[in-house]
Amino acid sequence: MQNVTLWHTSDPVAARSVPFPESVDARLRDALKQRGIEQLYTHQEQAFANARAGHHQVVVTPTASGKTLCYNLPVLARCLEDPEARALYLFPTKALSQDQVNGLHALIEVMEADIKTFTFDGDTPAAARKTIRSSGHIVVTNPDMLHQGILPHHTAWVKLFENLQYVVIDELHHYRGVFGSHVANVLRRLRRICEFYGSNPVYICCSATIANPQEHARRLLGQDAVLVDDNGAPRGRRHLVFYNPPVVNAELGIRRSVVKEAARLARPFLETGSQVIVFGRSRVRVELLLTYLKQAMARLNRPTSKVRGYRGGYLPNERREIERGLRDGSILAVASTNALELGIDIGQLDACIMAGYAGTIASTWQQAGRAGRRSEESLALLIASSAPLDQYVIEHPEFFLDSDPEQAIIDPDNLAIHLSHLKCAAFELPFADGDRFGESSATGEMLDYLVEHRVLTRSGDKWHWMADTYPAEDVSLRSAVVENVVIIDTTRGREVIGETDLLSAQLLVHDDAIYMHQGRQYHVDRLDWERKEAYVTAVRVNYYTDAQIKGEIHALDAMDEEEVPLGRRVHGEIGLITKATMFKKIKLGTHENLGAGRIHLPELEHHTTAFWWVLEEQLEACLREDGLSLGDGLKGLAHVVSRVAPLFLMADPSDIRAVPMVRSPLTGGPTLFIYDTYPGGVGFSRKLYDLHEIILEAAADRLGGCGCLNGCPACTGSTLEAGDLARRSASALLALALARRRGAAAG
Amino acid sequence: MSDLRHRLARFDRQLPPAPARVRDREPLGALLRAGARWCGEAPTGYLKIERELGASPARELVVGLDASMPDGDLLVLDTETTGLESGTGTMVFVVGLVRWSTRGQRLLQFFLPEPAGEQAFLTAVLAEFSGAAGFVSYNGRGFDIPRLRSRIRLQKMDDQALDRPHLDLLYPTRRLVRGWLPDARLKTVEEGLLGEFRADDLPGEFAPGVYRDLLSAGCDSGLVDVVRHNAMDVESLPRLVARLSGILDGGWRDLPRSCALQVGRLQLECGQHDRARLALDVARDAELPALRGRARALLAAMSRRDANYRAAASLWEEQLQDQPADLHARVELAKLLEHRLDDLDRALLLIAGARDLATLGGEHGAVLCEQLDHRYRRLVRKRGRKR
Repeated sequence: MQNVTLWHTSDPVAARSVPFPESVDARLRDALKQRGIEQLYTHQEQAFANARAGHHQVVVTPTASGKTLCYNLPVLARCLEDPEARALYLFPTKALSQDQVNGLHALIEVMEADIKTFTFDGDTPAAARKTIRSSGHIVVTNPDMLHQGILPHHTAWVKLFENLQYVVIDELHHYRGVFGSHVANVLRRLRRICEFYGSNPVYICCSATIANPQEHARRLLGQDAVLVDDNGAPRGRRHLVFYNPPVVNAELGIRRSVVKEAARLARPFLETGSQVIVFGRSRVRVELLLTYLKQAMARLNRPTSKVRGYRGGYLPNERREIERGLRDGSILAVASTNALELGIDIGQLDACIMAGYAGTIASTWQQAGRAGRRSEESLALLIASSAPLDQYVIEHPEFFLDSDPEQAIIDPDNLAIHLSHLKCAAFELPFADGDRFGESSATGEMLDYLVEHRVLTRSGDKWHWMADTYPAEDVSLRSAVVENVVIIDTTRGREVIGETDLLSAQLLVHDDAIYMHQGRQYHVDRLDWERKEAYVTAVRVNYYTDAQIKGEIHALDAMDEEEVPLGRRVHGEIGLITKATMFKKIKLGTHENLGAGRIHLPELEHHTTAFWWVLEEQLEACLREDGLSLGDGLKGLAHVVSRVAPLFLMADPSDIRAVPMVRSPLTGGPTLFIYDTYPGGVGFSRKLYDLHEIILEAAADRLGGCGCLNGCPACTGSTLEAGDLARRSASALLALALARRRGAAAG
Repeated sequence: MSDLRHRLARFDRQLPPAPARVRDREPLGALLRAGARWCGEAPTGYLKIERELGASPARELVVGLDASMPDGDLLVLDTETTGLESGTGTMVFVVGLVRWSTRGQRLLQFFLPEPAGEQAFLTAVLAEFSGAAGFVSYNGRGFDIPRLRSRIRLQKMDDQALDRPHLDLLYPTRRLVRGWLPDARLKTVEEGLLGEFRADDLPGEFAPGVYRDLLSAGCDSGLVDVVRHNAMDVESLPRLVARLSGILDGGWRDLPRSCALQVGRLQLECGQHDRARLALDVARDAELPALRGRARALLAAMSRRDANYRAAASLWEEQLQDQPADLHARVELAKLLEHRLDDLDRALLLIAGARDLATLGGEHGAVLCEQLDHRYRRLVRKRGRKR
């Protein structure tokens, strides 16, 4: 039990059920009974009542609580009453759509009702599309397809839009950050089109637990939604365990590798044949985990094929096969990125091991929810890495258990995103004087801008599309850049094994990188940046590579600014140049540094929003008097703040980046910049500006609780990078700032 | 906060800067001088151009390509649009029509000077449509009609007038010229089939840019050319109808021999069985084995339909002599022998041979083998009973 900082057991909970409401068609009730559903859980009944009353709603209940019935029940009931009624289902991925349609088909078949349900996505054959458009009652698709394939062709979908009664949006929490900001705009377009056809659909949303489901739904839908979160489903006994690996180097504050610990702790499950899922934070980590798990299986004389990897970048068929294997039990263990956090149906497993903190409380609960059948006991185990965020959480289990999960943050009015969807919207329907797109009061001005650029034309009291392009084609909802790098295995011929966006490509597939795919290592022979292709060959080496990106800030506009202790805080826009500069070769197993190489790639330039803290200049002299260093202190602060901040944003650590500058040419003083990595920003910097003090407190807390001497990867970063004085200098800065604030409050 | 436009420009680098253009004092002047006249007024009106074209070719020729075309005036249709993309944002700004009746041909063009006139423009176009018996076009089913339908629905107008008989010449033409003309674009076909070469024609792909200049800069960079191009397109289609129907009516003998098969197929689709037989008979001697095989298969199917089983069988025999490995021919001949000609022994022999051939066919062959086995066993049973 050494190093266990939390062992939390939640008692089994009995179901709270109610009979089916009278208004549900008998055919539907019978069909559900045939499938073993005799009654509704209380939250399902509440969702049904809301939908019938025409209230938009967001249902927040854990994994395996019967969420799908919350929307299938009202939708099917309506379709049985009115054969003209139509519903649109949105899932973040094609895989989820397919799952959903299979479930619906089964139910509809039992009812022997004429309710036509179709998936409509990139894989739908052209011949089937016409039928779906005219006669599909329930159309299941994803936001990308709605954006590119349905809305721009709405005149071919008249029947759907005229009769649209329900819009179902599952996995609402998934629509956050960049993706969420895009989707909010796609939903604005959907609403415009519904209004054009005179329909006013009711939105039924489902979400994993987040701090602000109602607010998030309102931001996404542009309309208020009621909250359903009183879960009536039963649960078996569950154990949640936090484990902090032992320190192996106190000087550097380095702990035993989280990957190795995860593999070690997974072994008993492999031995006993219990199904286990191991989550890793990065693609690289998942591939490492897979390698170790396969080794463990081999030592047990079990087939290594029962252990699989799962992540984005695998091809769809491979993924479907793995999901099936998990459901039917033929696969014993899977190492996965958060790709399996989503509601993809893989059944419920016996145990879940998280190799590193998932980054958010919400994700951690999602991942933990993969373990736990309704009546049996299950275990979720979190193993901390040396990263500051992990260490903060593992040391403060009460923080994890007591605090609200993170907020889902989006900024639908991010200028770049908003403008691109304004174009799509103008293509779909002309804008009239006084029309507003979303909540922007500047719609008219933006439309005039597009007129000046020969995209729109103004005629009568309307703005019309006139360019010879199809704007939705140029807008990808998932990423800043439409372009991807394709990864081609040339070991035997030429096989495409995956793809990655440009920013990740700089990190993963630069020349001489070791790229990992399904536990196999590939050497990147050449990254052809012009053609966006990376050529790799399979190799077996004893190291992996870790690339570093440098950023440079070159222009800015302040939007909000305020005096704070030790200086001022600012929120505004910056211009930024990023460039991958070098990579390290790190030995497998011992993680020692085997050497380094240069990366020769062009700079990527973009504009974004940032939060920055400008410090008083005399601090430098102040710290020097005490034998400390402002430079080291800022570096240390950048490290700890950028890693603790995601605790308060529903952000991935890679969504923000911190840059310390002892003398910023832009502010004229010592400055700590933290910026949104997405062009234009999606609201994280604004939130950081608001939460400035809370985040400094959390950072101070982390520094105070760290067991190292002068700084380590878990607090201010290794002394090699941040300097010997980093931890003490950063602590001094934080102490000063927080003391002054207290002083101001007392005074 | 800095100026919104400044920020927009920063985030929207994909947009090309608008070129500086001199606004014409009367951007529609040239068009009006060329005969267009206003219906209604700017900005909600549209322009119309009308011209008599004379009587030939005769409207009745259409029946030679599509016997189901009803009596009455036909509309030859072609549009110019703001782009080739599908989707509601692509606007139709020229609708060119030739009203083709027994009395003659009359050219009618509608031009939309700016989007505010779209409702009146489409209303006028639909009024023309509703009096017509059907459409003749070149790719109108796939392009012009869907674009028009989209815009009509966007105006919340009734689009039923679009749902009428439609002879789209692209399909028969594409079939006919495949293999001996480089492509089936109208220009290529005019040169290759009609022997006509256009002078002073503005290629259609420039039309969107010319229209954009009018809307965005108020300048005329070739509107008369766009309208003339549209007129050329619709005016040439009746001549194409005449030519195609002449080809089906025996004119095909002057075309490359490889056309005979496609001519036969087109004639079959038009219900001209006797003519089709002539063309397919010629195709039986085509140079390419595949063409010969398809010609015999079509002829055999015709004979079968006429209950002339002996003739059908001898066509399959001919095919097997020519190409003994033709599995389909074997099976079809065996079916005739089994069900119609009462020659079980030979049918059995053919199926046995087919089975041997199919085993060479890999994965696909396995399925086929199974079907053939089934057929084989049935034949054996049948023969046993008979004896």
